[in-house]
Amino acid sequence: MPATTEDRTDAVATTRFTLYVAGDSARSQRAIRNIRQIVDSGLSGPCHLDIVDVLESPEQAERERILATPTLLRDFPPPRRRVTGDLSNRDQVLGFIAPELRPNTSEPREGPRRLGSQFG
Amino acid sequence: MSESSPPPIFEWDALGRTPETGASPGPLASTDASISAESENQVLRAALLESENRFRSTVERSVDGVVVLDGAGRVRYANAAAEGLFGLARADLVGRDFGYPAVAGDATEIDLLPPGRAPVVADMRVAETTWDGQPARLVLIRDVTERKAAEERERDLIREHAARVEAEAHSRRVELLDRASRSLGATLDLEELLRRLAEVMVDEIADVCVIDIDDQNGPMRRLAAARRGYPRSALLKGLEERPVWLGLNTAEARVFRTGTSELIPEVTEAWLAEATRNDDPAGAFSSLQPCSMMMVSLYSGSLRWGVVTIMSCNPSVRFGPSDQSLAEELMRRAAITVENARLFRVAQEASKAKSDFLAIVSHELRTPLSAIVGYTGLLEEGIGGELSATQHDYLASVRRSAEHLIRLIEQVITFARLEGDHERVDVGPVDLAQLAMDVATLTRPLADKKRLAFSVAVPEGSGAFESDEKKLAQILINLVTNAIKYTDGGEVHLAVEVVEEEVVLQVKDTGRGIPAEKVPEIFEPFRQLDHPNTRREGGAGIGLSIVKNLTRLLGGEVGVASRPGEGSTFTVRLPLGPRGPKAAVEETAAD
Repeated sequence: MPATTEDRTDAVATTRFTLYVAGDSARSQRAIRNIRQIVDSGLSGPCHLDIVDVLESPEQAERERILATPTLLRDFPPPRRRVTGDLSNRDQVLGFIAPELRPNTSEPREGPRRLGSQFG
Repeated sequence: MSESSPPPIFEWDALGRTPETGASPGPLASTDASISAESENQVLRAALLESENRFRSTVERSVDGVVVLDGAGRVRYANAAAEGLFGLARADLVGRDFGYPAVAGDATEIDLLPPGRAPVVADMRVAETTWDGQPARLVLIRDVTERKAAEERERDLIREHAARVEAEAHSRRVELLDRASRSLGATLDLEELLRRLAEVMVDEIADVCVIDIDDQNGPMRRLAAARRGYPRSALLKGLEERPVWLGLNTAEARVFRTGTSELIPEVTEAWLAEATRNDDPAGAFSSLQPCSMMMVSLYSGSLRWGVVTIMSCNPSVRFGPSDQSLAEELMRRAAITVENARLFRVAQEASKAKSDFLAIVSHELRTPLSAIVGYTGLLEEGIGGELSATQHDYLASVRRSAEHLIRLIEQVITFARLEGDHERVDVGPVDLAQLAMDVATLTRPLADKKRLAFSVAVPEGSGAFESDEKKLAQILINLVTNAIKYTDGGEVHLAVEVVEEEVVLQVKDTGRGIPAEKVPEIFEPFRQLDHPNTRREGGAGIGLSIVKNLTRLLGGEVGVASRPGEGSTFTVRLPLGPRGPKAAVEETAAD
């Protein structure tokens, strides 16, 4: 699986995430689907997501000292944090990794931030 | 932490440390009470240490990986199994950022990435705990790589098997549909068609196939078939005698009315009782003991034809949705053919009615014409009194025209009789040479009139054979007059002979010939080839059609070889012997 990059906006305060998965297993697919849903559900700030397959890019996983997948990393802004495991619970995932992105309303937000949201 | 309450699990570190970091033992007390308290404390501490060690060794020896994560997701503790699973020494593991362990439900699957080894699939479970007095998470990790691989293999096998079964079923369905289409398409006879449909069903998927066809009024017409050698096939007769009335609330009637097929994967006693409640006096239906059934309606467009009931009487053969869709597709195709058969029958009946009408009209025309010819003859012979030369000429003209009309009408009558299947073969001894000479005598005047050479070749002493002389004569006359009609210069040659087991009649001309693409048309009735002389040639355009039909009636065939501008040769071959007219006459004896 090639690394894919999604840019939600060009704004400076973009939160950057990287999702690490291992191969094209059902676990990987489920994680990708879940994170897409989270990203697409409408966040209160701009965000950018990379997806890295550790089987294809082991050096990147080693650099980040990834112990297990699926792991979602917040690369920016600091502090760097990560969530490992089931990414299906949006509030749980965001609550730990990027509470500031959780919109006040639980309604998904539509708008220009959705532009350019393409997954490979 | 209260020491009186039982220590929570996984607080052994805290427990173990509490005595050191907490209230350290004070100076030795000298009171009995304090001694007693001190020793009690020591006993308690020893018990706690033992308890802690027990826990620690239990966790240490656990085959599942055990990891404790702090609030930031960092590893604070890992057991031996976790070292193996992560491929890292405890010292390397502790302090590493595992991440917040997100689990929805009881457990979640993750991949562990031991350095230099293939990923390990693991089940992850998480429990809340405390560590150093801080909230922490206890993560239990169980290696499920082999189980997953086995599951994967099993899934692959199942998928593979399903794909193979599906492919086999698919090719079987295609084959069946193909076979059915060919079998059904080969006939336009309704009864035959339904019989074949039932045959295909019992050959391929059913033990018993019952077809009910709507007869517009009254009960439905029922046709039943069973697999060859089917032990209960004797019961089918009873079934055929049990007609379905559409008004009844039977399953067949319901399927017919709604047009929606029904699948009964498993026929139960209760179902049978309900289905045959209204009409199964003889018990024919239930006595077949169907195990599984499908009922599919036969319809084309909005027209409903009937219902096909397909039964399996073998407990190991149960119909499913794919059988149902196959049966529906089959019936859809059958219905199209049934509709074609019906249209063909309607057209055939209409055509036959027309032929019958033609025969009657022609017959009515011929009677007065015979009177005209007869009385003209009498007048010509002077029976009605002396005639002047002019009167003779006029009468001869009248007679010739009347005779021409009679010939034409005879042709039409023959044609109509042939078309209406009323023509019979009248077998008797035929002298082939004599027949050819007679035809030549009759037709020579026509050739003379067009200044054509006319020659006849007859075999010597061919002797007599059995056939229908009148029909042979008509075939020859039609061929010769046709040749003369379409030949403007040159010659017409008539040859008859017996070659081995065949009578060969041949008429050759040097006429304008027939373009190859028109050859199939010339034997069609009312057809005269499209050229400047169209319809100028006179005649009804049925001469060659009659030749074809008569030849066929006599068991033979007619062909033509032709080159445009050079002429044509018509050849009729009639069988002698058992395949000849005698055999044909038996076939038409019912007329």
